[in-house]
Amino acid sequence: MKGPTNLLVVDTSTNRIAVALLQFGKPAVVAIKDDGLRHAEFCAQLIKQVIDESGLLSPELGGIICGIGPGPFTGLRVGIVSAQTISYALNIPVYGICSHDALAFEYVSKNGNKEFTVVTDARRKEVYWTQYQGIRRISTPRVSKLEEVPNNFPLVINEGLDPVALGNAAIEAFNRSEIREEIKSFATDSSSGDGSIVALPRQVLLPPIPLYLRRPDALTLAERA
Amino acid sequence: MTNPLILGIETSCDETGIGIVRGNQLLADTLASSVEEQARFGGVVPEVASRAHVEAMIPTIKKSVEASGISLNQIDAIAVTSGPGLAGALVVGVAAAKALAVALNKPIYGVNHLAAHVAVDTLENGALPEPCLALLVSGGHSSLLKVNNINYSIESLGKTLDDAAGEAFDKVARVLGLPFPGGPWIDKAAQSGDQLSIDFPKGLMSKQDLIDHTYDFSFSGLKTAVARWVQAWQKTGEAIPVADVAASFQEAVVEVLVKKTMLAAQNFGINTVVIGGGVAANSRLRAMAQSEAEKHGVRVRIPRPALCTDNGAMVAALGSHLYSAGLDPADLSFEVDPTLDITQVQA
Ligand SMILES: [Zn+2]
Repeated sequence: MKGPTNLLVVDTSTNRIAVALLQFGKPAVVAIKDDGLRHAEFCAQLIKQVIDESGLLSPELGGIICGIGPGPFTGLRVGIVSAQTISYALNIPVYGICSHDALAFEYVSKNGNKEFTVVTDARRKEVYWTQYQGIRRISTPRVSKLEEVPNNFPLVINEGLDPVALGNAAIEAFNRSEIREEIKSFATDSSSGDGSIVALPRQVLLPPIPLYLRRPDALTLAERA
Repeated sequence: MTNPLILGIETSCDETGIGIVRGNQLLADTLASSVEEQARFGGVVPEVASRAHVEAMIPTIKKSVEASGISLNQIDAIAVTSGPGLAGALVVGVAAAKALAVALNKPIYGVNHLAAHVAVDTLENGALPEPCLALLVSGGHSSLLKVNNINYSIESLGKTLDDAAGEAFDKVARVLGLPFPGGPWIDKAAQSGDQLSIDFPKGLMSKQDLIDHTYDFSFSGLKTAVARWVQAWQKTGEAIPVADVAASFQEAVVEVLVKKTMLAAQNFGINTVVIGGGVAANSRLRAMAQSEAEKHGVRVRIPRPALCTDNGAMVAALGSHLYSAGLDPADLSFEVDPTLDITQVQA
């Protein structure tokens, strides 16, 4: 196995606050809480729990993996900012993984290589969705009404991400590191972006920054004029 | 411990602020602002602010730690604004603060943003005589407080019933074609204007209002009156006398703020007033507060403008007071509270 032996994994892209500590890719401690509106309250507590229970902290901790979404922004940011901050404070690397890649990884490990569409809640009566062939992403993540998701593949609707699957999706990316070019940034929409298309590199370690698929609601003065 | 080393994080609106203090001594105060991005929208858009906080958080912490000359693990405690403010923005600062507390294994204090605006004054002007009054005026809040003890006993005497004072400055600036944020531009334009040229209404100053809303403020009527006045003038085809409008509007705001504050000082027999918030940078407010205070035998304390606007040092300053007073830190699962009441100094 390439990559760090001990990995702290954090994801807040779904209604679940998902934290785990993986040793050699196996879950040492997993802490999850299903409460979609309370990421800010409980994320740090769960991280403390896995660190305390595992007895691991710097320097044994080799890296942090965070899910970068897509997911409802306010909650999503909690896990990403927590991961970035711990990385800074302990001086260990942090990487982002597309949260849907982790859901695909989990699905494939149970159901084998198939074509399917991962679907997660985007609030406001919309969903985030990404199409996969096995663990390979074959569409860019998008946001739309559930009725508008193409029905050529079965929909895998997920409410709570498994942090162990996220860790393993990251290890998979570490293992393919010889073909991995280092990704410093990817096209995410900002307040000026188009808000629907994100060119996300395939199944690799990404910068730990949120994957925004919607632009802020407000119009700029220029747009209002 | 008498002089604790505290790192403070502020993200209640559009400024990412990281401050580091040792006791009452300011070591570093670092700020990243999304105001330029917000200006494109003509005001603070919560989601734009939240995104900017995420981008700025780690670089701003790094800068502040480097500027302070300390190393991160020397810190005794972390303080963070838990409210009031924009929910999505508060969440970013609280997530960073909690993660820092876990990584460094240090206590954390969730603190009230308004109380922090008062506490910051001690970094510059020393210990706070208690009780004292605090007038906090910014784009997000306009409050008159009675501070019995900065750590646990603050009363709200009055607040705005509609727009915050700074909001009125922003809206009037827009009517006058001045950029966002409006405060500094109105202040500048007013320098060459006549504040007596237009008699704009002064909110909640009538006899009855002074009984029912003795220390409350209202700026929405004033803002509307300015807009109507400008509209009517435009029909004449002449250029708007921007300087006169700015000066007269500013005078109406400042007069109400100062009069009500001095009234409270008299009524409660209090002779120290702290002024904070972005509007405290307004030159007319500073001048009138000083001259009225002299008349009433009151001492006015206003920190320098960089400490009046939202910043991390103020949060660290309040954290330092709480820590030094031996108050319990927060549980790691404390919540952000966008409408946190001033009676609650800490989470
Ligand atoms: Zn403020």
